[in-house]
This record gives sequence, C-alpha cells and structure tokens, in this order.
Amino acid sequence: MKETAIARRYAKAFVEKFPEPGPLEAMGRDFAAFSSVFEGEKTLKMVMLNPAVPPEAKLAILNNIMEKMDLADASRKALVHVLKKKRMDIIRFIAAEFERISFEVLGKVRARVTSAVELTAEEAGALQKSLSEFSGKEAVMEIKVDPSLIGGVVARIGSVVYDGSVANQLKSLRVRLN
Amino acid sequence: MKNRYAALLAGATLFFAKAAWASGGLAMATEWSWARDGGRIFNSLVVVGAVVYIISRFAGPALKKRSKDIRDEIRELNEAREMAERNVADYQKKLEEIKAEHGRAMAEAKTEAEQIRQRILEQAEKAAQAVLSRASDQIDMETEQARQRLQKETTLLAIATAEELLKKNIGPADHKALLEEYISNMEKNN
Repeated sequence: MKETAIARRYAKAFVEKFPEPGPLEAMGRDFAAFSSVFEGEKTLKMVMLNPAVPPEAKLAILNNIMEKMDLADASRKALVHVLKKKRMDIIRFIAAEFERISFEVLGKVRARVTSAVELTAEEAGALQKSLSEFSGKEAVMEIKVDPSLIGGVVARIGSVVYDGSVANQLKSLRVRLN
Repeated sequence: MKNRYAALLAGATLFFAKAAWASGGLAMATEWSWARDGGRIFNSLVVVGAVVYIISRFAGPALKKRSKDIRDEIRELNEAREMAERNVADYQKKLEEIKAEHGRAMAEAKTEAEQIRQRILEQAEKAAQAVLSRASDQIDMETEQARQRLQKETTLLAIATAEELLKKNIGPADHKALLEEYISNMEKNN
C-alpha cells in the first residue's frame, strides 16, 4: 500500500514530464518490459538492491541493460532517476501506476484476456474492438492462454471481470445445483 | 333437724320399752300406782333426757360433720361425674371429628393420588409423543439429507462427466463459436 502510494508519485511525475502520446506509450512499454526483466532476474535484483554495491556500478549495469533492451530516451532518464533515488525496489509498482495514469491520459484501458486456446489475429482484433466499445476506451489487451478454461475467454478490465469460459459456466452450474 | 327427730324417736322407744319393763310386762300390769309407776315414768324420762342430751351434745356435731362431708363428697363425685361425662362427650366429639378429618384426608389423598397418577400418565404420554415426534423428524431429516447428498453427488458426477466430454470433444469451431457468443453478449450488454 505504501509502495503503491510512493510509486504513484513517481509515475505521476514522469507522466507530467513526458505528456506527449509517443513518449508515454514508449515509456509504458519500456517500464513493463524492464520491470518484467528486473523481477524475473533474481541475481540482477539482488545486486541492484544491495547497498554494498557502489551506485556507479549499479548505474553501469542499468545502462547496459537499457542499451540491450533498446529503451526510449525518456524511459532511460526515468529509470536512472529511480535508481538514483534508490527506489528500484518498487519498480514494478511504478510500472503499474505509470501504465494506469498514462492510459488515463491516452484514453486507454488495460484488458487482461485469458483464452482457452490461442486466438487468431482476426479473433483478437474482434475481441479488442468489442472490449474497446464496451469500456468506452481503447482496450490494450494482454492475452494469456489457459486450457483449464476448456473453452471461451475471460477478460478483466480494472476490477471488472467478464467471464465467458466453459469452466466458469460449469462452476456456476455446480453452485446452482448444489 | 333430722338428728333431733332421730334423738326424740330413740328416746320415745326407750321410754315405752322402759315403761313396759317397769310395769313388769303388759300382761302383769293390772293396777296403776302413782308411786310405783309414776316413779318408773319419771326415771325413764330422766334416762331418756340423759340419752337425748348426750346424743345431741356429743354425737350431733360429729354426725352433722359426717353428713356434711358425705354431702360434699357426693357433690364432688357428682361434679367429677359430670366433668367425666363432659370429657367423654368432648372426647367422643373429638373422636368423631378425627374420624371425619381422617375420612376427608383419605378422600383428598385419594383424589390427589389420582390426579398425580393422571398427571404422570399425561406427562409420560407427552414425553412418548415428543420422542416419537423427534424420532420422526430425525428420520425425515436424515432421509432428506441422504436425498440431498445423493442428488448432489449425482449432479457433481454429471457435471464432471460433462466437463470431461467437453474437454475431449470441444474443437476449433466450438472455440470460435464461444468467442463469437462472448463478443455478441458483450455487445448486447453494452
């Protein structure tokens, strides 16, 4: 909760500093990608959060990663700022809050979609269009495949879940008949 | 007064006996003689007077006292008798009352015993009814629970079977149809 509040301040400051749609979209993608790498690589995380490692060494590591990931300039400046403020421990919160705030600015909404099978581009496009119309904002889909759904899809936008899976229908049937 | 009369009567008896004796018997008294018979009468009167005097002087008070004591005793005995009769009557009355009370108590005890018996019987009957009712309810409840359990198990089994069948048989066309239905429902709800 405390991390979210702090992350919100950082995210808001970055959005205000780079308010144009181009940098905002790039930063959103970069933050999400960097956060995924940072949280996934335990060694990297341990080194970057270790107070015994000199700040210069941490900055060198960060620059190296950002170079390899080909991040946008705005993203690089923002991540360096976070490192200097010794707030790399909450980078995933900053990424999440940045996406939320930047999406509000850009009129977008994150739609987390889970499907029983891989969707074709045509199906994904139709679903994206439908979710955008439903939410009144441009839906940015994040698609996962989960065969346990048996069939159908589940979409989550914010705190709202639209469950059209066969597994959920069977579950509802179990509850209703019990 | 009675004592005096008795003394006079005794004196008269002695006088006539003395006179008879002094005369030498009735058969022998053929001729009255003032000197002889008058002296004899005088002597007799003197004796009689002495006897009367002695009796009235000494025996009278004793006899009076004895008479009074006897009357007192008779009166006391009468009083005692009357008291005893009253006591007997009281005891008789009390006995009757006790008998009546005993009768009433017995009757009440019988009535109460009968009421208690009835009450115990009613309570026992109620308890038996309650036990029967509870047993019946328990049987109904367990029957219903068993029915529900069976229904639930059957339902879960049916759903599990349906799930397995769906997993095996659902194909790309079904997935496409499900997605289209999902999008269609979303558009309807929009």
